[in-house]
Amino acid sequence: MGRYLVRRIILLVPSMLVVFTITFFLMHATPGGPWDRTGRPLPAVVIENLNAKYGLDKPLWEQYTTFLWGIIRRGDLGPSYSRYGQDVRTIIASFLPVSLKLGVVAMIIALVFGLTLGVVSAVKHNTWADYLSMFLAIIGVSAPSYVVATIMIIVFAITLRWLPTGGWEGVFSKRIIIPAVALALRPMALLARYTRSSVLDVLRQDYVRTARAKGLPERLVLVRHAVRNALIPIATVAGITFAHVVTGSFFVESVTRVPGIGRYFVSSVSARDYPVIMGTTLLYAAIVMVMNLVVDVVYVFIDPRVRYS
Amino acid sequence: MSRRVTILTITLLVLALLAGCAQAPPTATPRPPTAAPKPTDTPPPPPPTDTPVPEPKVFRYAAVEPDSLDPSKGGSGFADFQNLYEALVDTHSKDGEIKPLAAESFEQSADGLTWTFKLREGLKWSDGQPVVAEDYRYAWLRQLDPAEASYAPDMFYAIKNAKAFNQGEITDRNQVGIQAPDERTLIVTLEKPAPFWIQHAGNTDYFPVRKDIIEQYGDQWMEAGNHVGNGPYMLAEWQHDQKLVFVKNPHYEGPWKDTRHIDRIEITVVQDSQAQGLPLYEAEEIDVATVPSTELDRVQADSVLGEQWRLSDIAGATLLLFDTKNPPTDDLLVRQAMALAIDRETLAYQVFKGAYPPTTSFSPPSLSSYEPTSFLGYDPAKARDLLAEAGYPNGEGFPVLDFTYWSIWRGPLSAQTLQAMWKENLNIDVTLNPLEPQAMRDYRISRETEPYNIYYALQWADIADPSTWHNSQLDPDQNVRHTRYDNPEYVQLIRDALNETDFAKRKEMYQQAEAMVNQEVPMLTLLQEAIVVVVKPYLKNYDEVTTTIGQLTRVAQPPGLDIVR
Repeated sequence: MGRYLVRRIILLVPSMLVVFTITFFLMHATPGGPWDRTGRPLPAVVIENLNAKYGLDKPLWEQYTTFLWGIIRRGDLGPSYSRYGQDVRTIIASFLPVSLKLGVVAMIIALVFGLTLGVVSAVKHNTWADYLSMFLAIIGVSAPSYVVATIMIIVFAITLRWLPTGGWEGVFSKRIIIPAVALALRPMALLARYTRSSVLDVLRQDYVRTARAKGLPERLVLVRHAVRNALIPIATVAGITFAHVVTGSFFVESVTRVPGIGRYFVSSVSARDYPVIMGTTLLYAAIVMVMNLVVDVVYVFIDPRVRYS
Repeated sequence: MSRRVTILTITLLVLALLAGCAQAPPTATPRPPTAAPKPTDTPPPPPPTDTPVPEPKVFRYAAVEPDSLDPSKGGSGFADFQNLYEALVDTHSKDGEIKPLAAESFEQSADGLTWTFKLREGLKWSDGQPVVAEDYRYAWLRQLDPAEASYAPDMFYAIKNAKAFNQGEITDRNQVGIQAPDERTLIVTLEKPAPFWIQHAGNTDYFPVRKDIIEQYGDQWMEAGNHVGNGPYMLAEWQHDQKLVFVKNPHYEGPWKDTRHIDRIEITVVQDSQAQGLPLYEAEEIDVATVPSTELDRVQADSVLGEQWRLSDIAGATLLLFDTKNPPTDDLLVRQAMALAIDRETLAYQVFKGAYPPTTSFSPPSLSSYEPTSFLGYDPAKARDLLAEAGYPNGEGFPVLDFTYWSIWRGPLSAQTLQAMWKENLNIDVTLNPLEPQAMRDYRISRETEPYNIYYALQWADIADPSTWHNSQLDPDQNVRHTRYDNPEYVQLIRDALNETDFAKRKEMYQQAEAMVNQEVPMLTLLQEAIVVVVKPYLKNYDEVTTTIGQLTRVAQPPGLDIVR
């Protein structure tokens, strides 16, 4: 297990290098540059000066090696091109924690309600409870989060005045309700559907019939045998979903004015802010890879058949 | 047993997660000490009744996160950073007069080459240090320093040796025509008599900055706590991506000292001030908001909002540019036909619901070059005749043109409407080529060498002077707009007008030049830039403190924004 983990962690390095290289050349191949985002078209001399200041006048391979070397030597992606006075590290350090907190709250909501809905609809298969749960799940999958967030703002903030329209004051503030629910809805629906089919699948297994045959109460059959074994596919989905949710959502964060990192995934690309594009892409890649590793490790605990050696 | 362990583990995990959330370090998003979790960001509750302290007046609105508050980055589109600085002169007043601001007097030498500014006595920065002429000189030279890569060095090019210094031809900054012989005197020497130059001195690019602060904090100097300005207000708080707070600058001694009725300016950061401002306004969280054209119908019909909206013009317009050397748009008749086939009324009132008025000349009406009589308005019959005369009767044989435009804002709707109008009125086809803004920039720059036919652009007047519209866009020496229009008569006219010191004559020359552009159509304007806002009724003097160039809100500008409930 230990050697397996070490090998997996070492393998992260070439994977990240591949991500770095692909991102670097893709973003430089995209037409347009980082300057000229104000209303006034900048004269050519200004653009030349800016390119010189940030080293964008050098050949591409030189920019590639300088950039890579900066990351290796100092762990530094350099200053943002669009936010003066902020470097990528500061941007990630100040905005990622907000997305993380919001993401964790959303994930807890998604897990609690998603698993409950999924198990209920599997157990009450083809009853009104099943149909209701799956109806909710389909709404959750098909309603985009920004639509949900916008509708919630209109209903709860503008019409009813129960909640503020947005902003951020930490986890224990009612400002988190709209963004967390909007963000949780889709993962909740996904988890509900996966849980339902997974539990249904397990309930048809021989060992469940055996457990029932030996007189085990249905509640215990469900908890000990069905749900536990159904967790394996759910863990796979939950891991990736988690990686997605904690890196924030452009739409939810924009609509509800949460100062998270999610918006930077989009705004950096449209602004051609190369260092921030690289920073957010590497961050996302790292979180996905780590979550995959975590899920693989979790298998050991939920599935006795899985052994790494 | 195992079940209990599982439940225990899950409980612990959940608790750990929650604890992790709760105990996260406060550095990322420091909570303002005053911010109580209230549904609206209202000012603190009034003190008990026996102490009649007036409630602080808070002006609240929404804006996108500024990239910078540095004048050398033009505030990066964040116009309202100008409440933090004070220029030498006020060039944005409603009556169009140039008024002294930080300078108590300014005069031009008889030959028109030298401007002498005398600073007011007792002016201070927000940290209490005196404002000296050298602060302005330092800031302007910083704008020109090529290593700074500032956004608007060309705004200084009228000054002697400024262009050479900015382009690295000379390195001695003392040769640039900006001198500060003593603490209160600033002398500017120009290359040529340039009557328009004083207009620049009131712009945000000409704000002063503090050398010692910039050297001490480097690129962090704009952060709250570091920033020092000389304006009526100062930066109190800047929580990135959340909000900015300006408060009265206690050391401010300038002429707008007594028109600061507002105590505190709170700016909520949004991603899109057009789309997100209105919900905040309707939830009573801000006092003024812009209205997107898509919401205009609803706002006008609303019983409350219908009383609170207003439209104000901005000196700017959306433009079409033609390549005047590439067939078929090299043919004057073709350009005129395409211009005459545009129904601006439909575009303005059907497509954009009246949020942007149709243009009536090449220049915006606020510039003295405005000359509507020569303008080619909507005349489809004449357009067809001209196209036939050019050799394309009923559009036959006319090549399919590529029409490039911004894929954001009003670009797509404008382009689709024009495509339909040209098809209907002239029976010609254009292919739509939308580009996102950063790609559009590359497209614009590469037009210097690449042929094209038509593209769409947006232009604002940098200063209230026709040169910003004619010389900056159509002089063959400018390197921004490439229409390749080189009518020698026109070029001579705008170059002479630029340096003409007799204002009446200058106006006449520009109007003559404008008539040529209106008739020869190297460029045409479509819709006037404008902004529709909703303003709370308790906000007094809002219209008086906003200026037409970019709709800047200068809160302390006389008579001063006020809140009267």
